[in-house]
Amino acid sequence: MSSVVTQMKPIVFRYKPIWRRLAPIITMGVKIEGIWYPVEVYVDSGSAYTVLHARIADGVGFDYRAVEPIYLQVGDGSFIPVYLHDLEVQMGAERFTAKVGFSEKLGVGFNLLGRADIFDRFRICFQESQGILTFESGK
Amino acid sequence: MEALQLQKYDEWLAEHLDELVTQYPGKVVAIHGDKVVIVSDLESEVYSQIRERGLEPMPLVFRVPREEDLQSIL
Repeated sequence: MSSVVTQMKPIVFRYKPIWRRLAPIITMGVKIEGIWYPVEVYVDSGSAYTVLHARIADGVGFDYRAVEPIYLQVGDGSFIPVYLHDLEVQMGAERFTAKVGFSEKLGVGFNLLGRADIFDRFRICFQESQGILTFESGK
Repeated sequence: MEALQLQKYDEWLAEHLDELVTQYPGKVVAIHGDKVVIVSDLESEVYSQIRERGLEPMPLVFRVPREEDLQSIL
């Protein structure tokens, strides 16, 4: 009797050339009130949660303030309010539920892809010398 | 959404982000059919136009980074 092990192919993203550098920016899907939206996120292992700019939620008409905020400490030591929601997300062909926060105080220009529900689901390899990031599903 | 569509957007951005940051820094753009179809200052205006035009599949909407945006994250 043999067992079958299904090996999912890693999802491969290219680093994005920007201002003479390479940045780990990838495209993922986020389902908000029944509609899928592609969004760009900066893969940031230093961020506890995935946090999108609140202006995206405002733009699509999502009441992200319907929950109590949590407060996350950012690089300058200050705390910013983040409104966390359980949303369906998509990486490659893989869909799952993840904590996604919205904040109007995100002090960086990028949306951030953080650790919660992402880094424990995928083995993420930053291969900057080859210009690629790979997400290998561990579930 | 279609995984292939997500991949197409990602590939398009890998090819064109460097052009976008020089042409539209700080602006919100919508990518659809391999080109920029909407440019605005506000996400709300871009999504509103997408709904009005009935664009399918959903365009990729993002605020084009400025150089200081990249510096702030490094």
